[in-house]
Amino acid sequence: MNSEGNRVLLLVGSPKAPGKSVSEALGSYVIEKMEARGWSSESIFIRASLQSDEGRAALLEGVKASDLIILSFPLYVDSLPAPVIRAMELISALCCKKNARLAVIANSGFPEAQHNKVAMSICQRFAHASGLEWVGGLALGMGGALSGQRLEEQGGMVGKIIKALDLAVDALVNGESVPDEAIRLMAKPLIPGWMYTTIGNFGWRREAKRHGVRKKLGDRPYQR
Amino acid sequence: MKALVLNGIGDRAQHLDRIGERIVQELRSLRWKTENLILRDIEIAPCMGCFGCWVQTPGVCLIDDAAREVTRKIIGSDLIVYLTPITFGGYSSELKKALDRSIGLISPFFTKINGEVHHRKRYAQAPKLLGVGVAHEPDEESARIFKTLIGRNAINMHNSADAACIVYEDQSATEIEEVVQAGLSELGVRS
Ligand SMILES: Cc1cc2nc3c(=O)[nH]c(=O)nc-3n(C[C@H](O)[C@H](O)[C@H](O)COP(=O)(O)O)c2cc1C
Repeated sequence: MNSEGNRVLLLVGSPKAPGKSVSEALGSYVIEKMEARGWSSESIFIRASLQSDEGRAALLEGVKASDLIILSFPLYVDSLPAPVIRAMELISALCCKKNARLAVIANSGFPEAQHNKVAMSICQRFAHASGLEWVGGLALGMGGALSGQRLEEQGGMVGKIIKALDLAVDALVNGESVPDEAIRLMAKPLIPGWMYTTIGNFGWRREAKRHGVRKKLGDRPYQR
Repeated sequence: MKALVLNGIGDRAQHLDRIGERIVQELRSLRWKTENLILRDIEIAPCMGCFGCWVQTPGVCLIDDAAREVTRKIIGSDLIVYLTPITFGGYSSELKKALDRSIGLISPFFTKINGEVHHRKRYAQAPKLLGVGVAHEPDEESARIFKTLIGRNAINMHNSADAACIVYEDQSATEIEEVVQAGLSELGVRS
């Protein structure tokens, strides 16, 4: 089925390779659910698409042809990754499809979902500047507890996320905005904060050890 | 004292470079050794999100390009200036490509600041941060986002002080100078 007005584009804002990012896992879940509701879809990895003229053209064509754009990205230095901003700069100079809508999914490494607030505001301004209708955003903390695996395979911890995304899909297919309940569920901690940072700090040590730099973690190579 | 201007003005807006030049002039008149980096002329690959700069070669990005030198210059400065067209309230992609590559300047380890989780310092002292956003026209919401972003970045990157100011494309050199001077005064760079 590919009825008029039912075309969704997933823009993956993580620079990681396909299959590796939390952004993709979250976005793909939404896309699959929308496909099951009769929507046609396309997924584009922003960083890869900006590497060639053809990729850039395909990105812009994809945007122009879409009724709903879902941008899923990791929080980078309180904002969006550079390639995502580049894509936004290009898209805003273009005419999007009439009545096209934008929804976003942000995920951050820090445990508190509120870190994503500035990035959300930026996305909203981008929608405004590009003639896209802003239909809301979901923000998730503790992205470090997740992986690029299919969301359904990431264990019981993701139950709240799945519920939030299901609510968002229900609303989006009906032409509505992302509901507050979905935003609230998505922002709920996956595990207690202290546990997340303890496991996280342990993880940095383990990774450094694997690379033989356990004792160098605090190095200051650029010390004046 | 050393200052570094990270000029994130894009290809299409090169006429705005005059703002960067004014900032440099002002700092030099205060006897600051100032470097003006035009980021659009520097090839910097996007961050790949691998955290290699934390757990593989601590403090140094795995990608061997100009961003390493930019990062070294940032931490070697007493003041950094983010000069950027305000882009949907935030930074331009030209400025952001350098900032994404600079997280090796902080530690991966978590700590709490004002009740919120952030990363620990890597270096004892990080530079002061002045954000100079260039706007086409007055836009309160974008200005609010920009100022908030500078403040949030300063917490994350442990900048020792921060201030944000907005200049307009059509402002005269004198007007721009006044705005920048006020920002520098707020930072204690100018008395
Ligand atoms: C360059 C860089 C900057 C980051 N900045 C932030 C930040 O400011 N706040 C935050 O909570 N997480 C930050 N993170 C962590 C990522 O948002 C987090 O790891 C996320 O889960 C990655 O998602 P992905 O798998 O979709 O790429 C940063 C990561 C990188 C690589």
